[in-house]
Amino acid sequence: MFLLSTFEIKSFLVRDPIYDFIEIPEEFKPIVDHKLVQRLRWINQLPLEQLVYPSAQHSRFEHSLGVMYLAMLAANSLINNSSKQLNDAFNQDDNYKKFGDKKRKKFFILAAGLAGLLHDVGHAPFSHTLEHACEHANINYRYNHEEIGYLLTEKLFEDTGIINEPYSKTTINALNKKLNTLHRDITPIDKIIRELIDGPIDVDKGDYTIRDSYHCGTPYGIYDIQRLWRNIVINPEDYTIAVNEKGALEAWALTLQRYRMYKNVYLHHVRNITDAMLIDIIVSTIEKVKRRKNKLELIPAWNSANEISNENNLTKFIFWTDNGMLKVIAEINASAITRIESFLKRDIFKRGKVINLQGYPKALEVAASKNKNEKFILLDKLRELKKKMLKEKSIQFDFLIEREMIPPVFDKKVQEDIRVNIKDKKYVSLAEYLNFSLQNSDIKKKKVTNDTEEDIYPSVNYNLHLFIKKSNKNKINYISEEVKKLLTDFNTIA
Amino acid sequence: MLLNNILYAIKLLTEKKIRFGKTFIQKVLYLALPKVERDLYYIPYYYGPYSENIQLLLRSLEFSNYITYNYKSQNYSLQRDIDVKQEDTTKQRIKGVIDFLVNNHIKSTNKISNLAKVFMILDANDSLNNGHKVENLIELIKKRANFVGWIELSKLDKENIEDLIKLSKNLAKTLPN
Repeated sequence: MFLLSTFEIKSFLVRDPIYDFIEIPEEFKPIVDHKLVQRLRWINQLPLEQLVYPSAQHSRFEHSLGVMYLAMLAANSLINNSSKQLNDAFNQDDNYKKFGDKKRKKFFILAAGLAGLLHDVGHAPFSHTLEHACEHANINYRYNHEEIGYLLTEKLFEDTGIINEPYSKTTINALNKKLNTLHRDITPIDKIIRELIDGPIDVDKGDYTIRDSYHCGTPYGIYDIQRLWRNIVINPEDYTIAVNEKGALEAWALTLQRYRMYKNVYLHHVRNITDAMLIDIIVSTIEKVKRRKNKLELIPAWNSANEISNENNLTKFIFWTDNGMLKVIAEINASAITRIESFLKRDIFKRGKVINLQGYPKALEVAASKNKNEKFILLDKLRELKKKMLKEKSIQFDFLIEREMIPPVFDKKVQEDIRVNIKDKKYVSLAEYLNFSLQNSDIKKKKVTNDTEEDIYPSVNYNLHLFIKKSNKNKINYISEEVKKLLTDFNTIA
Repeated sequence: MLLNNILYAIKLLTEKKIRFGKTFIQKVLYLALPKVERDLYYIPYYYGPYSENIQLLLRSLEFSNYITYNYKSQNYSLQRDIDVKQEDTTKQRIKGVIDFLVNNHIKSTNKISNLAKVFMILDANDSLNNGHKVENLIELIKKRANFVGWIELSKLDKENIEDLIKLSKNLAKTLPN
């Protein structure tokens, strides 16, 4: 379905397995061709999941084009379904209000597409694994792909000469998470684009849920793309993205399918085991090179996100791909070669036990902490235990702390955040619309207090997964007890 | 550390005989935490600043029997005697916030939520400690409150918003850095 000609946007086409054809605006050609975006071809979207689902070989480049296209499709729907709200938003935005209707709409479509295209540009090789490895390592830096992505977006816009275009400004504000939505510089248009890319129901989830499912060869992520994204509206109360009644079931389908993908793919135990394995490899390498000059080969933004703006480091960043990083690790950390080999040939640990951290508030606090130094305290103790067990008892185990996913029926997003536009311009939660709102349930009524937020939704939780070498499998109960002892000692609350 | 600060706030609120639930304590901690932590842990939510981490830890403390929630008296209570050893700045700030609430008769969840919302808007725009004109700030509050769906706040009359601005600024001045 061709949509860009309506807005007098010239485009070219690429084939895509999900949408058949993706239209790319001519304005984006220098961006798509830029080395920073082309780099995404060499970053696998599911680098660890492909050890379970061998056909999952697609790249972040493919996903970024998909999000770009879906964002423009969604923006087109907002133009059609919420013209009044959108006009109000245009009138409050200095970048748009001076332009006529045609140009405003064109820029809005381009801003949505650009934000979609660039939302993942800062991803590291092995994406989240590298970010977690920084938390495990004793260094005062944590890689943050959103922060890096924002800096790279500015660089891309400068390089291609579009930094002052109205749509580029919107994209930059939408991707700059340092500015929260209460800041006076964030306009309603910025917020709409931000919500479209990263909100309770957004085009990023909309693309990866179905694309990853397709490439894995699983039926878990399928929903009706057109039905959902053609039926979205702007909630005039707060400029969030809502769905109309026709889209409600598909919003639910997307949420449910995403949950199925998490349970069966993204949190598959083999993926978790290899994640822990790779974290171990990266951490040992980080600790080996942290005082050496070649540390920037391993992480081109070692000291700060700003480091990436240096041209030399930027070149290193271009070569910083999945295979590129494994090669660098093998070159600078000979002791990791055996483990890299094991990783590549999928010779991995086995599932052990899962410890729910809810009963250990202190451990839970640091596991969920957003402060790297706090988080490191527990991770370091666990790593020490791992070393001790290997040295003293010749037992090899590994661990991973993971945020549990709440079943969508109970998820706050479904219970409160995703809104459905029903008759008389009224907005209700998706759960209320589909008749399973906990707000109206008997359980809720029993617990009603004058405290407006006294909810009964299950809270998120964190689990500590233990993995063990096959030959040590009979030692898993012993290891589990040792880890629980560590957690209990750690739990002293002063 | 959030956990210690949560327990300390519960202890003080209990001593001052203030009724409080999850929302109330979320807002107390929001107002008390240093800016870096406020920005790290809190997002603007329907009922004002909200931290998933604090929610998670309250649940865990209940689960581990450190605290219980009594639905009749609508109050948390400590189940173990917590010895708060360090009088660090954040704890002084928590004490400062609770004294401030008592002195200004802010006891309802609704009032503290509105105070926290106004505080959050001013904070996001670096307007807590500077001399912007009150009229401009009222306009900023109304506009931004509307923008994030805090409709009730945006509809408050000017006098009420002005009062909340004054309270926010006084509180910011009172608390140690």
